[in-house]
Amino acid sequence: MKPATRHITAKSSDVCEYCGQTCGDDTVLRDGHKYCCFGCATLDQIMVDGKLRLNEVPVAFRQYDLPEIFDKAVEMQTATIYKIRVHAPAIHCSSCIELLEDLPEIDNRVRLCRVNFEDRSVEVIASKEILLSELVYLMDQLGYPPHFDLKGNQRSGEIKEQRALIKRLAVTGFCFGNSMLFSLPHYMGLQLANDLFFANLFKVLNLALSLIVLIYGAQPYFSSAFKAISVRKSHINIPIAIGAIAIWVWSVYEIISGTGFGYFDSLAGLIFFLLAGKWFQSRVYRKVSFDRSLHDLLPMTVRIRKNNGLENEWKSIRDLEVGDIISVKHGEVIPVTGELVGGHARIDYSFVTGESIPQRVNEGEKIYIGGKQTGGDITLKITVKPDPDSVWSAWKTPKNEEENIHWTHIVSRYFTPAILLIAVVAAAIWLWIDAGKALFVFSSVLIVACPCALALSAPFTYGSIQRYFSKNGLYLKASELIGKIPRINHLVFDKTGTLTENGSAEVTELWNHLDDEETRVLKSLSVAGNHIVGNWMNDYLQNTTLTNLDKVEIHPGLGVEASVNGESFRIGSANYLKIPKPVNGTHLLVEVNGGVKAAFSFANKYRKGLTTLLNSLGRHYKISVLSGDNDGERSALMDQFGGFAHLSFNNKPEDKKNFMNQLHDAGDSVLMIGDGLNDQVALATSDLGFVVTDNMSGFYPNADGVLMSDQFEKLPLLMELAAYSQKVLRTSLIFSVMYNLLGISFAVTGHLNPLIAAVLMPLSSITVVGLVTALVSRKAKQLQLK
Amino acid sequence: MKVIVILISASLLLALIFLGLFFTAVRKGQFDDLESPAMRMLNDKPGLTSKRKLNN
Repeated sequence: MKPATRHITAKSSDVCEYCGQTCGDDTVLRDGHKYCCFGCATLDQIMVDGKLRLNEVPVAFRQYDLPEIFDKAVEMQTATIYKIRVHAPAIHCSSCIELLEDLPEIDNRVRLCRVNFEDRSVEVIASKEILLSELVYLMDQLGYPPHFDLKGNQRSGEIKEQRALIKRLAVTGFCFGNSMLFSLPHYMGLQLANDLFFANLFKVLNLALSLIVLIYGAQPYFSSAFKAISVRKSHINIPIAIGAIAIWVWSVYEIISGTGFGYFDSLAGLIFFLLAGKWFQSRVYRKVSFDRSLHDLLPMTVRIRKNNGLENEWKSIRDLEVGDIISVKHGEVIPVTGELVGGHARIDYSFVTGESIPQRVNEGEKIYIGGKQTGGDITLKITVKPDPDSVWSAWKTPKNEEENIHWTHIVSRYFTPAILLIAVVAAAIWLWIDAGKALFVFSSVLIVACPCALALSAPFTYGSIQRYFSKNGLYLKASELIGKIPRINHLVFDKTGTLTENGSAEVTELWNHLDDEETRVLKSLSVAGNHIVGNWMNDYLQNTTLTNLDKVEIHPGLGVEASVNGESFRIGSANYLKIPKPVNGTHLLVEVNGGVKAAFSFANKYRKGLTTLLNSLGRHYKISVLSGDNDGERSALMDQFGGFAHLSFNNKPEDKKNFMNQLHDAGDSVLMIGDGLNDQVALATSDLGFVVTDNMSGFYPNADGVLMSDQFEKLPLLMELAAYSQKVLRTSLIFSVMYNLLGISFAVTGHLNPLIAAVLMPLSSITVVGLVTALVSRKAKQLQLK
Repeated sequence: MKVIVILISASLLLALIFLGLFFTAVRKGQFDDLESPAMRMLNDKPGLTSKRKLNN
C-alpha cells in the first residue's frame, strides 16, 4: 500500500494557499502552488477542476472486497448500504474535515461522511455500488489512508465507555454540589440546622444523593475492586471501595442513631475527584492507533494468471496452490515466496533487511515475501504453500511482558492492611479509655485514610507529561510507559533512516570536469535510470534542466548509457565501467566518449544536530548503534560522536535481537530507536521501542512510541522530562503520606468531624492534582518544550 | 422559613430537568467530539456543503 502523504505541520514561514495554516518542511507543491498538506492540495484542485481523477484500484486494496474481511471491516450493513468507522491519523486541520465530509460530492455513491477530529476517526455511510476497496483507495488518494480495526466493533465500545464516564461525572458532580449546600447550614451553625424539621429534611436529601453517588457514580470502583479481590490481587481501587463503604455505613449509622450529620458530602467529593481524574486521563490521548492490522501491509489477494497470461483472476492468498502463477506490478509488496518466471525483478528488501538499494533477481531465482518490486511487472511461480497466519510471525515476536505493576498498586498492597491495622489498634486502645467511642474511632480512620492522592498522582503526572510529549512529536502507546523511561540506561539506535535522513544522501564530487551541457545529460541519465543512486544525483543537480537523449539503454542495477549529439555517455558504478573503484562504498562515475570525466561518492546524510543530540544523551546513557549496512560509514559516524558503547555493521534482524538479549543479560535496560519495519524484532526485544518516522499513520506493530523525525533533536529533552516524573511522583507520595498522617491523627484521637473531613478530603485531591501539573509544566518550561 | 422546602424542590426539579437534557445530549453524541464542530463552522463553501444530506 502506498504510504500516507507526509502530513505534519512544522515551523516555516510559508503559508498554505488553501487553508492559511503555516506549512512545514513537508509542503506539497502542485502546479506552482504551495499547500500545507495533501488534503488542501486536493481540495484546491477539485475547486478548480471540478472533479478528481483516480486510477485503477491497486492490488493491495482488493483484500477489502473479500467477504471475510468486508464483514469484519464494516460496522453495519443492509442490502444497499454499509457503514464503516475508521481511524485516519492524517487528519490535522479544518480543511481535512471539509474535504472528507465532502466525499459525497466527490463520489455520489458515498452517502455521508462525518469526521471526529478529537480521535481522528471518520464514519462513512456508502451505497453498496461503491466497493469497499474503491472507497479505501479514494480516501488513500485524498491523503487519508484509513485504518481498520478488524477485531470487531471495539471503537463503538470505546464511545460507550466514554459516554458513561461523562454521565457519571456529571451526576456525581451534581450530587457533590447539592450535598455540600445541604451540609452548609450544619457546618456554619445556622439556626436552620437546629430546626428539627429542616435538619431531618437535609439528612434525608443527603442520604438520597449519597445513594446515587454510591450506586451509580462509584460503580466502576466497586466492580474493579471486587474483580481484584476475587483473583486475590491488590489494586488501588480496593482501599477506595473500602473507604467509600466505611463513610457511607458510618454516616447512615450517625443519622439513624441521631448522633450526627454524616459524611455524605465528603463521599460525593471523593468519588467526583476520582472520576474527574479518570476523565482527564482518557481525554489526554486518543489520537494514535497502533493496532493496525497486518492486512494493511500485506496484500491478501493476488492476481492469478490464466490462459497464458491472457486473463487475470483475483484470488485470496488462502486459496493459492503450489505452482500457481501470479503477477506482481511495480510498487507492490511480494505477497508470497516464489520463483521469478518473467519480468525484470528489482526487489527492495528494505522492510526485511534494512538495505535500501534494490536487489536484482534473475529468472528462476527465489523472491521472498515482504520485498517490494520496483522495476515493472513480474510474474512469480509459487513454490511454497503460503500460510497467511504464520507469514509475519517472525516479526510478531511478542514483547517480553514481565508483569508491569504500577507502583501505586504496590503501595496500595500495603496501604489497605496498614490502615486496617491502625484502625483496629486505635479502636482497641479506645475500648480501654472510652468504650463508647471505639467504634467511632475505628470508622473515622477508615473514612479519613484516603488513597485518592495516590490514585490521582500517577494519572495526572503521566497524563500531563504525555501531553507535552505529543505536543513535541512523541506519541506513546500508553501513558504508563513513561514510568519505564527513567529506568532506561542504554540507548540503541538503528543507523539507516534513524540517524540518517531517509531519501537523501550527502554527495561529494571526487572530481568533475563536466561542462554545463554534459551536466544536463548526466541529470537526464540519472532520471532515466530510475535507481536510488540516480535519484540522489537528480536531487543534487536540482538546478540543472533536463535534455533529450538518444538511444537510451538501461542496465538495471548497473548503469545507463545513451548517446547525445554523436557523443556517447555511460554512467554507473566502477563495476559497470570495468575500471578500479575510486572509493569504497556507493559511487557514480560519468564516462564521456570513453574517458571518465566525473566521479561522485554518496554517503548517508546525518540528521540535523545529531552531534549535539548524541553528546547530550551520552552524558546520561550508554549509546550503541546497529546498522544493516556495510561499515563504510564507521568513521563518519565516529566523527558525529566518539563515545559509542558498541558500534556494529552488517546486522541482520536476528543479530539485532541477539545483541538486545546480550544487553539484557548484562542487566541493561534498553530503549531501541529504529525506523520501523526492519527493526521490528529489535523493537520487540528491547525494554522500550520508539520508531522515528515522518509518517504518523505508518504501521509499527512492536513500537511503544512514535517520534516525528522533525522533532528528533528534542529526544534528550523529552527523556529528561520523563525522568523527572519519578521526582514528581515521590513529591506527591510524600504529600499524600503527610495528609494521611494528619487525617489519621484527627481520627485516632477521636476528633474527626464531618467539617474536618469535608475540608481535608477535597483539599488533598486538589493539591495533589495542582502540585503535579504545576511541577511538570515548570519543568517543561525549563526545558523549553512547547 | 417553610418556603425553603418549595425552593429546594423547585431547584431539584430544575436540576433534574437539566440532567435529563444533558443525558440526551450525551446520548446523541454531542460530547463525543468537542473539536470538529468548531472547525466545521468555519468551512465557507455553501455550494458544496448545503447540498449535503446530514440525516440519513
